[in-house]
Amino acid sequence: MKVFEAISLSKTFVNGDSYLKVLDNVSFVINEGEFIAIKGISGSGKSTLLNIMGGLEYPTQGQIFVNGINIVEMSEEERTRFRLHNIGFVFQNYNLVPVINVIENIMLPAKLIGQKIDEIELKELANRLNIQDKLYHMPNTLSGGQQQRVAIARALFSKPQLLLADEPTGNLDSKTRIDTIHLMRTMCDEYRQTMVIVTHDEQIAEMADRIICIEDGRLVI
Amino acid sequence: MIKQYKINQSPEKVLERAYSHENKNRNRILLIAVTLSIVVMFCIMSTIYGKNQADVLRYIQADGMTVSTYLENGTEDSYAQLKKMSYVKDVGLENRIGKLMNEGQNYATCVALDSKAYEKMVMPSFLEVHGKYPQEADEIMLSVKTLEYLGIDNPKIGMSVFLDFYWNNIFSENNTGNQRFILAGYYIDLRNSITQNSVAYISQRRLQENSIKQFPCRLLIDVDKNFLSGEQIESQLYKDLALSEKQRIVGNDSAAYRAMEETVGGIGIGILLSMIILLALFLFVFNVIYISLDKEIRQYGLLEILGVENRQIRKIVYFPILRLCLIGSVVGGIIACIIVGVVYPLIINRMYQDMGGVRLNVFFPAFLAIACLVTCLMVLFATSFSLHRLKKLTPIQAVKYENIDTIASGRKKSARIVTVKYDFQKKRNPIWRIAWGNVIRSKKKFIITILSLTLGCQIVLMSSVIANGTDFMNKLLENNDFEISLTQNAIRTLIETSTKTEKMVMFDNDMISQGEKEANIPKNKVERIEGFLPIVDEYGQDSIRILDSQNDPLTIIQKLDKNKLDRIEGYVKKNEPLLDIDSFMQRNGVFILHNHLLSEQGAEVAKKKIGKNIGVCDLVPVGTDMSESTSIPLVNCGYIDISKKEFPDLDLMWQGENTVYLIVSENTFSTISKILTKQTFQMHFNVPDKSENETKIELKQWIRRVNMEFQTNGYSEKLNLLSLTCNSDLIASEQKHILVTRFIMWTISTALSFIGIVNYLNTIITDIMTRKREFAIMESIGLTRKQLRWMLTLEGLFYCILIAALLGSVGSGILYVFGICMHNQMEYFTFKYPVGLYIGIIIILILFCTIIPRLIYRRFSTESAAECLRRTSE
Repeated sequence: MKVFEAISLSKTFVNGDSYLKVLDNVSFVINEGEFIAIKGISGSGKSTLLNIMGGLEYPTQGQIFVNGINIVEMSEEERTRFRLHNIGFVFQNYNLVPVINVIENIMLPAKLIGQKIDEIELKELANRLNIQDKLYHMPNTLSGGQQQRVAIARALFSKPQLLLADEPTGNLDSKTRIDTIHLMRTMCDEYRQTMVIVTHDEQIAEMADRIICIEDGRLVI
Repeated sequence: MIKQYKINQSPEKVLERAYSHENKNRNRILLIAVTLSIVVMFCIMSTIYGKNQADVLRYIQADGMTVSTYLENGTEDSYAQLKKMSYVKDVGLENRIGKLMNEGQNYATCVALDSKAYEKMVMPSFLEVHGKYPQEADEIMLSVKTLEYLGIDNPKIGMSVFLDFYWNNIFSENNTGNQRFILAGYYIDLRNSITQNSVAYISQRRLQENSIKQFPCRLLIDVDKNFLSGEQIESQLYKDLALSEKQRIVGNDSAAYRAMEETVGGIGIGILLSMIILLALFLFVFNVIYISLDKEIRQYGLLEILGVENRQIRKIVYFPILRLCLIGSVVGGIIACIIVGVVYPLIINRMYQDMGGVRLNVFFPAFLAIACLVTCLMVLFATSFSLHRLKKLTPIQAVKYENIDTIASGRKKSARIVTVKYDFQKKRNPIWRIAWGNVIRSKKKFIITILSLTLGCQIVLMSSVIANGTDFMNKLLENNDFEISLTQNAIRTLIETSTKTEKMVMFDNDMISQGEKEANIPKNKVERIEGFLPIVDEYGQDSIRILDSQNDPLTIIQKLDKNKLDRIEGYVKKNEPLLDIDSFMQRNGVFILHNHLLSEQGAEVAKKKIGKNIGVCDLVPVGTDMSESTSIPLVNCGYIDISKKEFPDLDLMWQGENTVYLIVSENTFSTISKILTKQTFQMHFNVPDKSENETKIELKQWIRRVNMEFQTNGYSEKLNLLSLTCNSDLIASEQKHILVTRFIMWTISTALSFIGIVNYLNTIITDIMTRKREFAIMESIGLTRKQLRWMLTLEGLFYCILIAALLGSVGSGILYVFGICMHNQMEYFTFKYPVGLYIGIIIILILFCTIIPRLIYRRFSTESAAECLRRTSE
């Protein structure tokens, strides 16, 4: 079943008189439960593609369907609400809310949706991500790996249908990197989530069901 | 463990609380900003309004009534018309109907008022009132001055007083002469005692019993247009009222208008100044919020990514700010109340004491509400403006947001690369470049900081210009140290009663020589106002009679010297082009100067009188046959109203009070002096400061002796021939008022400059705090802390240079234009560029802008560069 569909996506950045085409006529489909890796060198447009997929940026041209709904035609507020209910993000630099502690960070999207917090489930997730003893710590007191695991927990806890991760292991050492991706994959399988991960790491890309390669803004088959 | 946690509390609440906790420092700054803004706004509003109200009361007391517009010869019809007008609040009836006499001298004017005129227009000008307004025909209300004149020191309501009463209409003889009155009331007033007679109030029943009709009379008009000048109100009334030829409207500037003019130089300038003050306060609040929300944009961007809606973000931002506004309003309100309600009255009322009983009330709670409301609105507006940035950014842009919208990277600028030939060998100090780069790094912050500081300093300069320029001392310092003048009363009495007026010199050379001997009047430094006391022939009377005055003004001929002639020539050419200036300068011409005695219709008639002859001859004793008298024909060159704002200062005798002047040039004066007896109306002179006191004592003694000698010729002991005005006495009487004005202007300036400085401090503190990582990076690449401090000093210096340049160029231009506007409003306004203050401001700025950043940097740079980098990179 189609969860995501991109049709003829293009994105051009304008800076004064100069134009930079980052994405050029990109089209692809992602099915439910798939684990997709978007691969490409730095500046190839993979992060921009991920941002557009999540409705964080607007394409210059093209359509994006998530669960059959065109998010390009949505207003800013509608898109935010849609993102809250359907899409989770994990960033390379974690992007935890620094003013609240770990548990609040994890619960935040779920609370925003209005879900009742299942304490047991939260504890279990924390246990699996090995952050159970860090729940009441502030983000800036955690190591990079721990922060990344909190960011993953946050993305998974509200159970979004689509999980988008932009170089989620970029700041981690090689062992932790592989472990983290394994964990994400397992969790996604358990929660029946579709995951798209942006990486330039061959080893991680190999773990995906399918690899989408991007070069100079175009898909390479 | 989780159970200790309120797990299901709303995420907005959690975030709001967390951000409030995180932003403790910012909140403190914001709280200070809100508090300060409320305190400053409340203090300024209360002070200006309080002083204004006190001045209004002072003017009302000096005027003797609350209204400043009236209609002469008002009829029942005009009364009805006025009552229907939307902008006329009240109309009162005033009949100036009689006088009280003593030994041939009129010492009080008798006036009958209706209840509205008394209760709403006249009574509020009294300092004290005892008893009630006369109701019966034999009742009277006298001023304490009149009672003292009559020798009654301990008046009692209901006591009998015997007075010589006469109607103004000499044909009315009923109930005239010495008669018994019952004292219905008495009052203390502060009317100008030199120029105005005392007023005795009689009942309207007295008029009825003597078959005197109520109309025509003077209609006192209370106009609801205090922001308009008297002239504007007058022309509006002329437009709206259907008047007969004999009716004349007199519109003087209202007490409120004059008070406003004195406080800030007029309503227009007052509004402009208020706007500038508000702008300064707004920039202050805006800057605090703009800078503090700047670093939170990333956080809000992150929340957006996570799915927090704008509505929820607004809630998270606005709630704490609203709470701060509330706390700030309470704290600011308490501080402001202490300052304005307790400290101010202690200082100001001590200064204002003995100023005719006017107490300066500066505490107006309504202003506190306005100050709180305006400040909160400014805060909310600034917040919404700052948050607007978030709206323009995508969540990803917001999360990567860095406010480095440098001037060079404006969106509309071309992105083309400019290759500059770079001299690699040239020794350059990179610190200078970095410092300048830092100053202009954020366009908005740079502009707001520069604008806010410049505006603060500009307001200080403007306040100084206003305070110094409107300082009444300027006007007083232009006066001569001493003025010895003939009194109008003596002149009138001599003209009407003396049998020796032929060739009579009232203030003769013998008297002056005596003064030189006895009172050390400096011989060669005395200036005189000279002229003649003419008898005007029948044709000439035609020209003068059109001037409508109920008070029978004295007509004198006054000579103008070269300097004054130039002034009047300039005025006539600019403002009265229809007048015959050539005849005036060359052919025995006279200008007839009057104090607003022509109605609109009268002015039309006056035009036709230009070119007609006015014959004048010398004084003769009363009852002399005039047919044999030799007269000199003068040419009527036109009428000039001396009450007009632009009219130049010509040193007119008795400042235009109840006098009609036939103004002549020196040539014409010489011609007239062949026939008429030259009079010295006034002599004035200056003495060295050290001998001023001594001269004053001697002059007072001499004048007392001259007046006593004059009175021994059968005149009343209340009638003086000469009067002495000592400028030092005037200065002393105005001193306290001047002090208060200065104090108030300096308070406002200080408050605003304080705001400017706090604004700068806020910018610098926030700036340095947010740049900690940047400093650590610079340190890690080899910059010493000494060099970093030097960089901050340079940044401060750049600000100073820019502000100094702006103040010196644009600011000076504004000050100059402002000075011209003020001078047009107030003749005595003296524009003086505050060079000393300008230099002082620059020095203070340099100290603040260079020392404070160094101190703040020292305070916040306790950790090592490595520690800082590690902490901030996490």
